[in-house]
Amino acid sequence: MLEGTYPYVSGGVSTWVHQIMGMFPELTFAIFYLGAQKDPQCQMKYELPPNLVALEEVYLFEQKAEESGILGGIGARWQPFYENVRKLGVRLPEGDAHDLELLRSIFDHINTHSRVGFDAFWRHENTWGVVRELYDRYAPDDSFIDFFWTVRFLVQPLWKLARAMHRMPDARVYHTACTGYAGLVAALASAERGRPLVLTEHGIYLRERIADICRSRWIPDQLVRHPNLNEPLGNLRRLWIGFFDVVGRLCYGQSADIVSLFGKNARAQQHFGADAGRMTIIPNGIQTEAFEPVLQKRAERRAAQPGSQVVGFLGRVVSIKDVKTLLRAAAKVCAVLPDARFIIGGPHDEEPEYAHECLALTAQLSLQERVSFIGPVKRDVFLADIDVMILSSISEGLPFVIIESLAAGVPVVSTDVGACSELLNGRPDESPAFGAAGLIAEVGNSDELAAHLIRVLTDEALLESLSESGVQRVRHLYHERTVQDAYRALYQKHLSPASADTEQ
Amino acid sequence: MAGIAFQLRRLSASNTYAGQAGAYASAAVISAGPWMISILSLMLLTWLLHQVMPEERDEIRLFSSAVTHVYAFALVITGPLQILLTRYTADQYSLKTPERVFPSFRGGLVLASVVSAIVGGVFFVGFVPAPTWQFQVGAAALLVYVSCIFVASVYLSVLREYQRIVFAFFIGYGTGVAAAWYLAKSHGITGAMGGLLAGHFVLFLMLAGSVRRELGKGIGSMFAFLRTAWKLPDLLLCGLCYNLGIWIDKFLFWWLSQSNVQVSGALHAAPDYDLAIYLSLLSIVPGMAVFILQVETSFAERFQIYFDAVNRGRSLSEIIEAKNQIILSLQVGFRRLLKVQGLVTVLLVVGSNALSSVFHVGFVQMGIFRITLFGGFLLMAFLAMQTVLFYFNDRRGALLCSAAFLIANTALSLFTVLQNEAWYGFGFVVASATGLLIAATRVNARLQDLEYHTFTVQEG
Repeated sequence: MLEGTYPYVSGGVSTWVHQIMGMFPELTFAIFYLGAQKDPQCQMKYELPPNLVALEEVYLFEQKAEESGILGGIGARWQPFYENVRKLGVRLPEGDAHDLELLRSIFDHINTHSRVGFDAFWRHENTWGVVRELYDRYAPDDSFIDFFWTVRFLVQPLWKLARAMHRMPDARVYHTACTGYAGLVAALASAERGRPLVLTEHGIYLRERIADICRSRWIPDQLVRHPNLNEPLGNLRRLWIGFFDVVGRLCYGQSADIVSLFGKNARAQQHFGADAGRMTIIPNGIQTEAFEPVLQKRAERRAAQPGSQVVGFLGRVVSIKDVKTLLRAAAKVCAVLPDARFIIGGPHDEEPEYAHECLALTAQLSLQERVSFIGPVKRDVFLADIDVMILSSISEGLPFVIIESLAAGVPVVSTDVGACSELLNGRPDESPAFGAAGLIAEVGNSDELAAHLIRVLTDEALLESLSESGVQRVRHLYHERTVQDAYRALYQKHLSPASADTEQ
Repeated sequence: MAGIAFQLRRLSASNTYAGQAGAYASAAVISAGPWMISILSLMLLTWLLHQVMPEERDEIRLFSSAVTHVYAFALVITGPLQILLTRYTADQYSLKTPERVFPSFRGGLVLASVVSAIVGGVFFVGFVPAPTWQFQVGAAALLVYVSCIFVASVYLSVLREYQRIVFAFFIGYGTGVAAAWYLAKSHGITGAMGGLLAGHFVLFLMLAGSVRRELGKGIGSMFAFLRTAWKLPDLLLCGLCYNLGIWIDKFLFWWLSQSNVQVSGALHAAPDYDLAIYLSLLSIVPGMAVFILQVETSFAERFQIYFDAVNRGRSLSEIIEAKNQIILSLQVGFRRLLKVQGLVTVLLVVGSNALSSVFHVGFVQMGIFRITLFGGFLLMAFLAMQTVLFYFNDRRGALLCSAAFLIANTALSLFTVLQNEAWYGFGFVVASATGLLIAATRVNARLQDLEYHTFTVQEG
């Protein structure tokens, strides 16, 4: 179960999905893909492997004519359904495993009454009654029109999901790459078909949603009117967060194994309701051998160009990567080091407006000569051509780009997000300790980033030692083999026909 | 974790619920005003013609009957068109595309003219023998003019230029009656028809000129409003049912009552019934005035406050409070309407004997008049309720009661007309009561859960 990732969006999760399918050619996979809206221009970013036997796509926020249905279809037999909907709404804040059963019966009902479209349901007076009851319960003094539409936007995707459940492939193991909508259908499928569920979270879905919701300007409650983080959240924001919170807990509750990539995230999962007993950490891994030629080429280039000062950024030019802070740091570095250059590699098409702003900022800082935006690039060539990698993200999981840089012998200067510190400095319990492979700066602190870059670029000995530590750490701790072994064990445990019984 | 970030759907800022405010208040005016003025001026003119040519009773009857038919046809033809253009114009204002309004006026005129010319030509030239062919053509032309005048009135009503309408009608009919009276002296009823045509021409020019001044030239397709008809066929049907419903009993009486008179060819009249019903319809003027005043002031204002409360993000309790204010205002309005109209009706019933001597009303007509007076009273209340239904955009309800009114009036008038004089008028009374009952029930239901309907409204 994938939400907005493989095979249409490139990135960490997609890379991992592709890798997992490649690791186990003896297994077959089916993907249940959830997207917001179908983009006819969107191309697949990956070549689908032969052991991928099905790809079902469901778009949650698409308006389709089939949605409107006849009103007359809602009769007395819907009474228990509405009773369940009401119960679910009332119990929403708790969100325990029992509610998964409730949700299942609601989904079943929607599925067995396929002639009633969402519009017919939404316009029905019984629905209106439930909405009013929930309004009185959760936001009696708030704007009713906003509450009404918020609830509608919460419910509509669920209706879509219910309608799509019959397209869910039968599987021996259900594996979801996040909680959220994908986690919800995964949990439902797992419960319905009595097969175990595995959850691998690369980021922490709920935490990302909370950040989105707090920042978003489209939720029309008091935060927009008084943009102050110390103020308590408005009821509508709480509703959105509450929704994803419950959905997350339903998924955690149903999962037989809950995987995170690194220690910090495991603690976050626990905080959001995951059971510590079912949690494991499996990091991302790569085939470090594939990077030997890059390592070689890089060494040759550096020997040929002593004192080369090229800083690289490899990733999508999007706001979460905070490229603007990177550019401000670049300005400070360039002011001190006349030979320093920056290369920004990666696609601009995901947030074109942000990419445009970055180009404008480059011009404003008079960096056009020093910073080049080169668009999508071949990773291996890029890694051989740079001296230091920079990552200025405000949020990360376990970024492949760091593992790959380290494998290629490129030291990294990164903000302190996700597993970056763990990757560059090692876990506290690392033994033998490999030492620092890069430098860590505060999020959004361009001064600190610049200072670190200047240090690495001007201190040849430091650069070489960081490089060596990185190569060693990745070889030993982030090799694909480690990941493969861990997932093989996990899948084997759950694939056996008996495992379903033991789960229950 | 790059890709997981889900694009949460933006709440579009334009989730607004529009009350079709304002436009429908005028529906009452445009459907009520013209036929009241037509009745009054026709009565005056008939009386004048009797003074000019006392010997030509048959010709005068032909003239007044022809003009009555013109108004009946014009209302039935333009009824659907009026309601359609009202809605289209209101939509354009709420979509902030007022430049599309004027082309629809031209389109409306073209459509009304073509249909009226065909109907009038076929009916008057083909089936109504008259002393001169000029009279026949004049009657057909009058139908075209009257239809165009009704179309123009729509726009001035929507623009709330009531005073201008009244002024134009006053001048137009003044001219028409005066000219008809003058020309009748030399050319008989052909001259009277010519005079009336001239008056209508003046009236049309005044109305159309005002519309043009108010709206400017505009841009866009002349017949774009027909798309509204395609989208909202119930609106069209409602206009047809209502206007046909008002006239169907008269048609039936003209043709089938025992005392019906074949005036000339296809032109029939039912003198007993006609006078009674026209006087009754005149009697509802006071109630109409009171109701329109209430709707235009207190009701429309509170209606707007209610939708503001919804769209500006008030809490549900505040929205319901605003709704209760609407209910209150309606209750006051209807109570006032019942008081005033009730008083007028009672006074007229009581004083009908005195009236009979003034208007030369016969004994049989007097009996019918007392009955149809109640019909007029009920029709007034029905009209008021239907206006409220339009405000609440309950097109289905408006269609339902219009259709019920039409069917009841057809069936019951048919039944009574086949009995004897003692039954005359009851069909109209019961049909009006039926329409009123259904409309009132719908209004009540709508008000009960107005907020539900507001939020779950279907497009259109």
